[in-house]
Amino acid sequence: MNDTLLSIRNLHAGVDDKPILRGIDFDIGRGEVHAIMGPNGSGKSTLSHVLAGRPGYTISEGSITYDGKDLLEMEVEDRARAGLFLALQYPVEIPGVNNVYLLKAGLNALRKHRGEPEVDAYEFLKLAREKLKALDLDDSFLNRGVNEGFSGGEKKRNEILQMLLFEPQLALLDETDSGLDIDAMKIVADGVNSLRGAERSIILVTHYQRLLDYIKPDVVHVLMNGRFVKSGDASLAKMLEERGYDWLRAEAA
Amino acid sequence: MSEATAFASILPQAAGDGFARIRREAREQFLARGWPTRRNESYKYTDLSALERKSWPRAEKPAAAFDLPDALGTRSVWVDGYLDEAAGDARVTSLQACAASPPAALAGLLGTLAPQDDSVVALNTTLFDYGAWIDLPDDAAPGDPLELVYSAGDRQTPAANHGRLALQMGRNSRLVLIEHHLGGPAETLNTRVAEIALASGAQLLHIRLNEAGEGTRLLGHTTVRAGAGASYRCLNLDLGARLSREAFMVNLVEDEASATLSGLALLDGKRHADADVRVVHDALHTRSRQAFRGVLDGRSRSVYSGRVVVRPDAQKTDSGQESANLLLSPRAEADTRPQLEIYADDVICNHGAATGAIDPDALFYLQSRGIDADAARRMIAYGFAARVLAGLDNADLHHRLSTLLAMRMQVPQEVLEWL
Repeated sequence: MNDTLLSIRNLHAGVDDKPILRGIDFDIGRGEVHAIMGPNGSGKSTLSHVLAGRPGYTISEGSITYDGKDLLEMEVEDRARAGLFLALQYPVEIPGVNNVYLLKAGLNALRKHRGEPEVDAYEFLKLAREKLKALDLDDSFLNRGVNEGFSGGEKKRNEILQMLLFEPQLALLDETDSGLDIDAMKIVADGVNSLRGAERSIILVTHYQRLLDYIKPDVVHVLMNGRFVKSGDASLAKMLEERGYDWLRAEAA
Repeated sequence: MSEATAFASILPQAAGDGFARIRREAREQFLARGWPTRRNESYKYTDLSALERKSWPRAEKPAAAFDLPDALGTRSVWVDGYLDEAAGDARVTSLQACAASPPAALAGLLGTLAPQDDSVVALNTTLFDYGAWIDLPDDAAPGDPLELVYSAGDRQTPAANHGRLALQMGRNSRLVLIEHHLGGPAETLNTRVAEIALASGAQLLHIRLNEAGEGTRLLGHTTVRAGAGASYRCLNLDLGARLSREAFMVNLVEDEASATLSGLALLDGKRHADADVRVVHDALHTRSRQAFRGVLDGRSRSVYSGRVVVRPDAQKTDSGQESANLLLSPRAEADTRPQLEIYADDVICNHGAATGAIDPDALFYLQSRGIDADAARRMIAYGFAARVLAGLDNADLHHRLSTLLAMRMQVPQEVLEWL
């Protein structure tokens, strides 16, 4: 069995002619939690989007292997069905499409792919209510339009709700902590921690160290100017909190 | 030979019934005007010239009743203009039955609200030979909706039918009225003129549900006169027909009258739907809202003209118009024309319009949750379309119309089972 779930080699990607990622190498094993930190504009969100397959990016070089498969050859929905989940920094509002449609259609698409029986309305509601409770969300959350009129905190919790229901193999959280007050962040962190397990890998993309007080990473990577410039254990995040990124800029140059 | 005189040879003499005088006048009007052409500003985007080249005889009595969907309320059914007594479960007063000597209330309404200088109205007034006369007493509030079904018959040759609706609602009465166009592929021309008078405090929910077959052309005109505090709510759903044009003229003639008109054109192929709305504010504190949407596939086309007229005495008018279109195909077209004519100074009038394709971010978001692209598109389009039902407070109708839209749009099971 291959212990590496995701492996990125020499990845170059950008928007139009503007290069953003300039040679990314990255590996994460099953059951590991990695944090990717970096200043604004370092390429963190681009990396998350390229992994999820968001349109609009040009991949000029490199490869991504996920669970033994060529990720770049897979459609967006196939990546999701293979267990890759991206919690977006800016979740999209879809007016008139009830949250429950997305949750149930998504869950059943995944279950079908895994060869598991689809859940019926009763089973789904039971499951969804359990997860809503864990996130301190009201049942009415299911019948609102997807992210429509949600507060920033509600949008982030909706992402975590989906993650808890879908139980991904690789959860990618793009700045999920931004815009959250401390109570909301604890709820989100508890949700993420409840998913930790030997078969599941988690990548936390974050600008600030404070989320890592609640979700302890195995490895911390620093992304600057489209490349990883340093990796270390959780203490690296502490050091960044105290010293900022400038010392690494000097080191990377 | 001019267009009008060419048509005169096939426009029969008006029937000699209790409406003989208005029929004669209408016939003169039609002969003078002919079919509306695209030079007529309000028919700019709807070409009726193909109608003129065909002859449209009245249908012979259809042999068999059409296969109808479940009733949406107390139902009356006309097939090719013939009352189908077996298919209906209760009956409104048939215009045919009272045309020979119309009651005074009917005579005082029919032909008095609809504009005589409109060609479709003139043609219909000349030729109408079926329809409903509804005289709702003060404070009456029938529990069930009233459904009038206008269906095309199952036949091979082209045929026309010309229906009329006269509705008078007494003070503080309430009614849900559904006009439901149905039918198969037969070549059909249907004209339908509705004249609706709402006494003070009356509340009407008027649903026009067009599920006509692909050979059908619908030309309709609805005029509403709303008295003090009366409320006209209209839901205009164009899901069928080859061509549909419905004009709504709503006159808010007394203080605090209100009108809310919502519409959806859900079209594919080469279908064409035109909603031409004119709301006239002619009294204090009157309120109107218009919200029209299109979801357009193939080479279909929707037209929405929304005109708001605020007369000099209509201070404190509050009006809003919005239109939004979702184009599912690069060859579909939406034409939107909001127009304001304001002659009072203390008023609020808003309007907005937007047309676009499916939001790629929304599509990505659903796909990234494992939903395939086709299902995701259908979900997004359904969410967009179903918005027109948001104000429908009759739970049963809301459910049935949502389901109808969802089935039509082939949404995934997850959406259907949750409606």
